[in-house]
Amino acid sequence: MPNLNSHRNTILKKLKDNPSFVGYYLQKYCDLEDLKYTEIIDLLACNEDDYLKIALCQTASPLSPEFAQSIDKISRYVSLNDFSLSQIMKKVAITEKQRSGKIIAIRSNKNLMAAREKEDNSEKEDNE
Amino acid sequence: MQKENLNELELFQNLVNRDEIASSQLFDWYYDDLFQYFQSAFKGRISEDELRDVIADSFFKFIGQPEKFKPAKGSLRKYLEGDVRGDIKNFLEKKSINLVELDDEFRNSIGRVDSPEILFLNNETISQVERKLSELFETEQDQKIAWNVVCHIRDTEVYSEVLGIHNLPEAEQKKEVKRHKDRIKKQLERNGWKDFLKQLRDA
Repeated sequence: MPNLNSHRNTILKKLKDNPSFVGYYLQKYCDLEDLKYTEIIDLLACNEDDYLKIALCQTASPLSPEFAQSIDKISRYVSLNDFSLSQIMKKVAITEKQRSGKIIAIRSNKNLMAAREKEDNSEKEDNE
Repeated sequence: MQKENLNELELFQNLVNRDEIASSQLFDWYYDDLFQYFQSAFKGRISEDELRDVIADSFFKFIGQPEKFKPAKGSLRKYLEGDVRGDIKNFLEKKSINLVELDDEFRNSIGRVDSPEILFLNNETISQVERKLSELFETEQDQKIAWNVVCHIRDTEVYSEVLGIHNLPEAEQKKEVKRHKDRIKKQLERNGWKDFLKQLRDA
């Protein structure tokens, strides 16, 4: 039987700098929240073998309209907590946008967070 | 068409369409399989970690450009195998060149390394080779020529530089280089060079 998990460290290292893959967001989230690898597996409610499978999936940007479809496909491929995955990836994407100074407004409702590009020389705030 | 081949085609098409799970399936289906295969094929020449790295890079490169695979020409598995094999060979070639081109005037005279024997050398064995050559050949010039000979360097230019004859007409350079190379080869042979290399490899 193939054993992809024995190559986990090498593969995850390759994903660390590639935002096309889910593994990029998962590792960034671990760094952000200072989580161990096992803790994020718990959050995703998956097993260790499936973690790598999830990490190797490609994804639309968490801030794009297509993102929900990506999550849906991945959750049908591997058993996991899709809401957790979605939140994890969005948090990383938004944090990165904030750090790059591009985010100016967050509008949130129960299931959706969206970011807007910064307008030159102005700052707006939306309240729910 | 067999089911296996049909699934392979589906996977390929999904990769082309940038389907979310296709990249994960590719790794799941083939990565460990190719690792086991090449671990055996290149045993002793590449470490496990290096092999993992090379195969992973090969896969990510393919995921970025799946259109390069032409299904009519054969199976996806075979294509990946060929791709990875080529990448492993490139890696080994670069590694052997890096090993011999260390920051040392003696080693800086080295050109392209062809010798399959030298491909197996690591830093420790390189030092042993250097020591052996300095025992067999008195002058630094002869040691440099001998090093190039054992690395199977073919470029006349490399030897001409060592001999200081690069200003001579090309035909004369070739003649002079051949004379020195033949002399060095005979001395290596007389002193059991092949057995020495075998001992290094087997150690």
